[in-house]
Amino acid sequence: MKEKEKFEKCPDFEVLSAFSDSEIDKESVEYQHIQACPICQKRLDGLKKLNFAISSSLIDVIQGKDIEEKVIKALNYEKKRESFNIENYLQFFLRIAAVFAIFALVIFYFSKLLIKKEENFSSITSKVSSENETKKDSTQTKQKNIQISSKIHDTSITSPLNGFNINDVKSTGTGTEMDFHKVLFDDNKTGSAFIKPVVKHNWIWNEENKQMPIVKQIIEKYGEIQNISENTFYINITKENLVKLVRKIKNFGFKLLSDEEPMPETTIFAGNPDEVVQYCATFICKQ
Amino acid sequence: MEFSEFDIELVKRAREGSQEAFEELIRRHSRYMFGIAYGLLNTTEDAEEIVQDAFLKAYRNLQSLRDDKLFFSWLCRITLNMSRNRYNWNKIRGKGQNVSINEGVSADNENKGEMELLSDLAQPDKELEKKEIEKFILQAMESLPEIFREPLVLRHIKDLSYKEIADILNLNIDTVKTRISRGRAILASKIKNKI
Repeated sequence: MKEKEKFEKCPDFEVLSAFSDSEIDKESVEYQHIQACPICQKRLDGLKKLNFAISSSLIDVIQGKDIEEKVIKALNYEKKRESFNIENYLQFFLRIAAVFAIFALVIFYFSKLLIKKEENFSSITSKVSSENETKKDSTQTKQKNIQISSKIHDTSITSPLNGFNINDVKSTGTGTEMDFHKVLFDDNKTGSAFIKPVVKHNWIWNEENKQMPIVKQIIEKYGEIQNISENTFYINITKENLVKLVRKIKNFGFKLLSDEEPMPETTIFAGNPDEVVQYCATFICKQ
Repeated sequence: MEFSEFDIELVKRAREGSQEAFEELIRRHSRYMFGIAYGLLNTTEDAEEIVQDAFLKAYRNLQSLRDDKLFFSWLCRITLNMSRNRYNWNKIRGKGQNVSINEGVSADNENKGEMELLSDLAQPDKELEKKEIEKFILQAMESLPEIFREPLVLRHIKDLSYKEIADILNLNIDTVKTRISRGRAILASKIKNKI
């Protein structure tokens, strides 16, 4: 009965619209009705004309449009812009590379400069060595050296032990930081050192030798000692005297533990001989 | 939908980096995209700009496309979204007409308009010039609420099935069916009033 009613009643506009778009099942009652009903057919004709008018109005808009070429142009422009961006990135990286290259060149230049100074230092060392050789054979040179050494306030300090004897201090420069100065000893040993503003030495001593008070007396001759602890002494001392003092302590039979410059073998050092440095000596009792 | 094996091959090649393949896709589909954009915006300049931007966006994001077969519906979605944004922007700037979704005609008026229009169009002696009708239709479409205009444009620009339209608009088929018929009814009513 319902099916019959449905068949007799004209479907609404939504069904007719779907019918015009071929979106109605051909087996359905609505489809059968529209096919058979003259009223629906008339409505459908009108709807088809409307549909045609809508489609043709839209199709007419797109006909004759050269939109394709415009879009392709836009695409090519985009590609070009992308490649331009890559160029920008390349330029950016090139700039960074250039900065690094300049930086590397500057480092290279300064390292070369440093190497050159070290070479100068070595050549002066060898020169001093040759002078030592000459000194051996020449009494006059020795006398001259003794005259120069008289300027140094501690030339009177001569070690009673181990044959230690400072003969001379010879300046090879004007006293600026990068000049080199030589301390001459009788044994003609050579060596070199850069002396830092603060020097710390650890020495080993043998309690049985009872040398500790003597060492303290020797150090006291270079300035006022400040005791940090029982076996650690602190003193302000010139670079030149420091070289001598270290040598003296060594000749007392103490053994230097640290590698801190100046080593007892040092006879040459850089910088102003009168420049005061801080020297801290710790004497460790040998167990 | 006319998305052939050749189109799928073009998409595949474009994804592999062939610009020629993508240009061919532009040649084959840009007019339809223009039709969609124009149908929604009703200005040539805006529609051209939207189509260019949509293809460029598709080109940039081609690698994110899951299935080559979905290229056309994906492109339609991009075009639609861009057109919606432009439409709303134009509305804010006062260029477009602000039409409420509920605006239009009542159900009675719709049916009345439909019936009158259908009878008018059916009579040869009252037939307007084709261009005149098209002009009225485009103007009337512009004033249609988006929800009716979008499925209607997709249906008429490329004869997409209800299912395809539903996929593009992320709607169910019944909703598409209703919206298309409502859109047509409103259009019929508006055209009738203009005439």
